[in-house]
Amino acid sequence: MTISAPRYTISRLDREPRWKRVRVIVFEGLMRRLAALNIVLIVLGALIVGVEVVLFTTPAFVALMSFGGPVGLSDFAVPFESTPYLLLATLLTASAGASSIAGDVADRSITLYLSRPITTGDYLVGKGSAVGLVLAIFFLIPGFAACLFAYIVGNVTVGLAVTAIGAFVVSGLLLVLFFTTLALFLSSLTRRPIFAGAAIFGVLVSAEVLAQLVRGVTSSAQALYLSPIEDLLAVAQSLFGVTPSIGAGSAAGVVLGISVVGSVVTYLRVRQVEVVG
Amino acid sequence: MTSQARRLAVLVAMTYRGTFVGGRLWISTLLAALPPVILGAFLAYGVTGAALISGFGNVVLLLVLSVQLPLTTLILGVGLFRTEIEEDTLPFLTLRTIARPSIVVGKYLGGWAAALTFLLPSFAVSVGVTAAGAQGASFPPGDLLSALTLVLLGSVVYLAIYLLMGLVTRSAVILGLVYAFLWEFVLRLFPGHIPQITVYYYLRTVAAELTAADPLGSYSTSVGLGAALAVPLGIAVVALVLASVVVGYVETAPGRADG
Amino acid sequence: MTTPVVVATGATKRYGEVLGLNGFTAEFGPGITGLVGPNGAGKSTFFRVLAGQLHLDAGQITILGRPSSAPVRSNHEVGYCPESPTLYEWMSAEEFLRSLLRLDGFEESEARRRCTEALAQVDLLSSRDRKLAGFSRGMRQRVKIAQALAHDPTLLLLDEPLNALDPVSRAHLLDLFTRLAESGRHIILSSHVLYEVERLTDQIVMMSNGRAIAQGDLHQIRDLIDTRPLTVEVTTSDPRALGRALAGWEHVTDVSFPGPDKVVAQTRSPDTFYRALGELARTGDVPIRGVRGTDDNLEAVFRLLAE
Repeated sequence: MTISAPRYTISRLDREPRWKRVRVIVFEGLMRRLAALNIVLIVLGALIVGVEVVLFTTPAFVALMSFGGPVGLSDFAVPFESTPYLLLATLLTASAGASSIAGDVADRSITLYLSRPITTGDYLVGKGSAVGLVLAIFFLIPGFAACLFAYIVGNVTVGLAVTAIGAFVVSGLLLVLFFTTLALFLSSLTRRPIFAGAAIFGVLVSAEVLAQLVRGVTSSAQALYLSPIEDLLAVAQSLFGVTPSIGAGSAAGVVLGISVVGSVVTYLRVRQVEVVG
Repeated sequence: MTSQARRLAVLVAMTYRGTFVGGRLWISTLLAALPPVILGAFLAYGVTGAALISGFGNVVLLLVLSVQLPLTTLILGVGLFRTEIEEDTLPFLTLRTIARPSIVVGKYLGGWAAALTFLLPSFAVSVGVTAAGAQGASFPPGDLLSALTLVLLGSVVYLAIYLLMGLVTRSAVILGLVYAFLWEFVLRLFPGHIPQITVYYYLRTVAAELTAADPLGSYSTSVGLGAALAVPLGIAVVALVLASVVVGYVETAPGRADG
Repeated sequence: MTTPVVVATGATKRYGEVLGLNGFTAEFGPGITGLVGPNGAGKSTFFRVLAGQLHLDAGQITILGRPSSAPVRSNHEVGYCPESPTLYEWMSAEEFLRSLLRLDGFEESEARRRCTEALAQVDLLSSRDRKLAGFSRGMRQRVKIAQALAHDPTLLLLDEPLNALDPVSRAHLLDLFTRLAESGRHIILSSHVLYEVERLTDQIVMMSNGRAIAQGDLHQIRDLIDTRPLTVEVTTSDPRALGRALAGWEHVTDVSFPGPDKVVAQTRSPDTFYRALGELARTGDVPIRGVRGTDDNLEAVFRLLAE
């Protein structure tokens, strides 16, 4: 007796390029992160930026407050020196970024992602892009709009407005890079978004308090390098023509270094993630 | 059959043990390590004597009261019910013959015991490090009592608030962070009576009433020690009573969990 | 007349715009009752209302004569095995059961004894000291059943208790459920594995879209569906001859030939059909090798009703 099986041919599927598959992760993540709470935080941040920039670039207000002098680039830096703005940024990072990897591990959807023909790097780029886009809306658009408004109403010259926009873009991109990396890193350490969110806050606020404490004891401004918030502030201030308390170049190096190391550790961490049913 | 009190004790023990796993353990341990490590760093930098003791006060106010206490109680408090609701293990408790208000009390006491397990050793080691570097200087009268009271009272009230948040909403962590770092952090900086709507104001008042020495003793306040103790305790009681009411109505269904 | 154990009257539960229960009305008698329905029918919602985890928006459900929202002390009478697989991962199986029994008010020694007995009933004694985090899905299922049994409840609510179990475990638990029912306990269990529900009980409540679409004895339910013809498959070496014969019968509504040796007929009158088929076989005019009712089982009945 012989048994013969039918002959099969493998039909090749024309897959979309890898970047399009990553794009799916980005869009899905972005849509999920444009939830009501995050939109509220973005709007509040935009209000702070809008109100502060517009006020501080209005000559009449400046004269009223007796600040003296014409409106300059440094007046655009006010939001970065505002505690509520920085707290909102941290909150948004926690809200938008805490569940980016932790949530996928918790509901085991990470296995669905990584069983597709994408690499771990693709997955992280997709996730990071989704979080980064939300943060970019927070950090970039209100500043851009406020500078444009200041120019349109005639409070500043076109040159000053363009310079301010450039400073907002560069500092905003650095902020997006750092906060996104931090969110992904802390999210990769746990399967509970609650802990990742608290950790994001904990790390930033603890570092800031630590830096201020050490500075108080040592009377040395160098202690401020310990706080990523102070490093980011120094870079932003420098871009807007304000003399920071610490060196902007070194501060940028600290922030970029943390971002790079954080990215690498996140990648290695996600490679090791085990999802046990 | 054992009494409700014994069942309560079982739940306290279960809750306490369940805290020392995973992320809660690591984050709470890191937060607990911060104050002693910072004081140790001061000591290593050469800060000793009265300056170190003053640094202890600043660490208590700026780190313990503003960061360690809120974050530790947030992580532990929110998880007391929110984790059970989201993981659908709450029915294992509510289907027992233990009254639902007892479940709230048992969870709270277990969580508080866990919080103190992190906070008290952290406090003790911080005191030890400071004493080691005091070089003959001593803590001002009431300083240690003031700091310890801050930790105990703060943990009582913040844990109750976060327990209620975890029961009521699935966005409890974000809400808790907003409360801790926007409400408590920012409103206390306002002039006039506005700081009185923060728990921080009363905790700070308690500290200032128990010691005269800076920095713990210097705080401008218009309430006395009695009111400063009563308000946080009252808030904690109200939060737990509300939680006891809510837990009777909380519904749990996979994918539909919401208080 | 037997007193129903659970009575649902117009029970309605909404999840926003979605109706989990939609005027669900049914009675669950003593013994074992199977609750069957497709995904999303409302079975788990119903169990959670019975277990006090959800509150009705309208209607009423009584359990052992009391409303489902009755005080906690009646919980001793109810044991609930939820569908969700999550447990207290950091506990061992023994710690888990013992803690829950202590919360139920049992003394330590009694709790240990009951814990051992319950774990033995679900064949988990050898794994009693293992952390639940290391349990497979089947083991978790058995632990959940053990915690539902341990306090000796009168009524067991088992939501998909056979999920993730291997065949040996399934058979073991089916025997356990049968023994429990024989000892006087009442069991309401839901399952997608319809033939296993059939093995356990004839008493069925069928759900679809939050409503009860049928309840009672399985065969009575089938008999009530007299507007839908019964489908019978006959195996024969001469399907054409059989087909010719069947087509001439007034109560046969359809004849088809799915295979070289099979004829499928639909008849409005099953009794008449079987009598006539038996007569046909006796005369030897048409060789008949086998007869099978393809929709006289739970799955077919459910499909008929749910469509």
